[in-house]
Amino acid sequence: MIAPILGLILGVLIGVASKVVIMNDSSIKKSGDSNAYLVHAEDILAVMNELNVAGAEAVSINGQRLVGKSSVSCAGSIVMVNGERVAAPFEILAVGDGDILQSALKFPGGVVDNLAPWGIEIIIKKEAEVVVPPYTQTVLWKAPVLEQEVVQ
Amino acid sequence: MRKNHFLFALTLICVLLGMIIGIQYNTVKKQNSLTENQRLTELTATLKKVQDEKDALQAHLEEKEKIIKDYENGLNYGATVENLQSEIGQLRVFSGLTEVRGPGIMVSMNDSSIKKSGDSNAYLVHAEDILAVMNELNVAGAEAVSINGQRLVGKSSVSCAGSIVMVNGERVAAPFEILAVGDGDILQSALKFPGGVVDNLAPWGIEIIIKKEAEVVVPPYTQTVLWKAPVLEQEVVQ
Repeated sequence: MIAPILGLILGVLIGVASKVVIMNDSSIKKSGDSNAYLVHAEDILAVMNELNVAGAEAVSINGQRLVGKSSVSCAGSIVMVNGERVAAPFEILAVGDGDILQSALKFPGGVVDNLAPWGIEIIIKKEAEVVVPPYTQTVLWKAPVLEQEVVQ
Repeated sequence: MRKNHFLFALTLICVLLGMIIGIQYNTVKKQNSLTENQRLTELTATLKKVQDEKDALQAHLEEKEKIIKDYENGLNYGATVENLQSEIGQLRVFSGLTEVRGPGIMVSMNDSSIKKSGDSNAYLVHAEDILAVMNELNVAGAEAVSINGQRLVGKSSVSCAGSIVMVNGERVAAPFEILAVGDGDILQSALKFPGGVVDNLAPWGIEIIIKKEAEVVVPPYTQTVLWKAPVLEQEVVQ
């Protein structure tokens, strides 16, 4: 019982109804702070969180799977996800109910709505099948684990 | 007499100027060597860190090679079962199904107690603030993070639900207590750096207390996951 669940958490997932989000920097050339027209780490974090809120079963960005230890941070002109460099265009894959995921992103005042004025290009596609890759980083644990209680 | 006076002033200025240039030259020289020394210690520290990491990875590799050898031998069922069990244990830790104890920090966030006119929303802790703090802790290498008893896993989400916040689909409310296991100093400075999450919330009077703890206990993920997506491959990468 535990093994297949763990496999799901680490393994490759193929969804029946799923979602692809492509985010790219704005192509609008305007005066003012050019930072406002770029996709930032916070925007990616917001999109991935919103997908999880909508019940996504697995989420990845440019090949980096979202796990408990995942982090998204700004590193100059690129973004670091899971400690790996990723750059625009960002392709976020999510397995789950396509319609729910889509409306979670598109609702008025939601993440897509907030980025629209800056010309950030966001394409949301419902796909019959997406392949979310597994987490590939090596984790070197330092904290001692006292209890291995199984709750699942 | 008048000419002498002028000469005297000129000499004085020249002497002063010479002294200033001399002092300046020496200071700049000293500073340069100081920064060079700093760079050197920084590089040495980085080298040591990378070497430690290399050693740890080497040990990891040897361990994996031993496991492969066990599998290849085939006959040794006991060792195979043992290996599989230890692998399941590791995966459980990774997926957040176990309690994690260790040194770390406790971050307590509470709504602002400042009573001001204007939009009262600005003085509350929002879902995005919590998400930002938890992400920053992960950036700083936290090994396990939880908020008010909800463990942060891959499927975790933080969303606003009126006056409360939903984490992992459960209601949590202020004061928020975020626990993280990891290097306390690194975690603390990741949150406190200028322009960081704490800095951004300070003007609104949001009360953030960061405490370094010798031991924090991060609880396991307790929700039931109903998977709907079919799994094609069960490749274990860890």
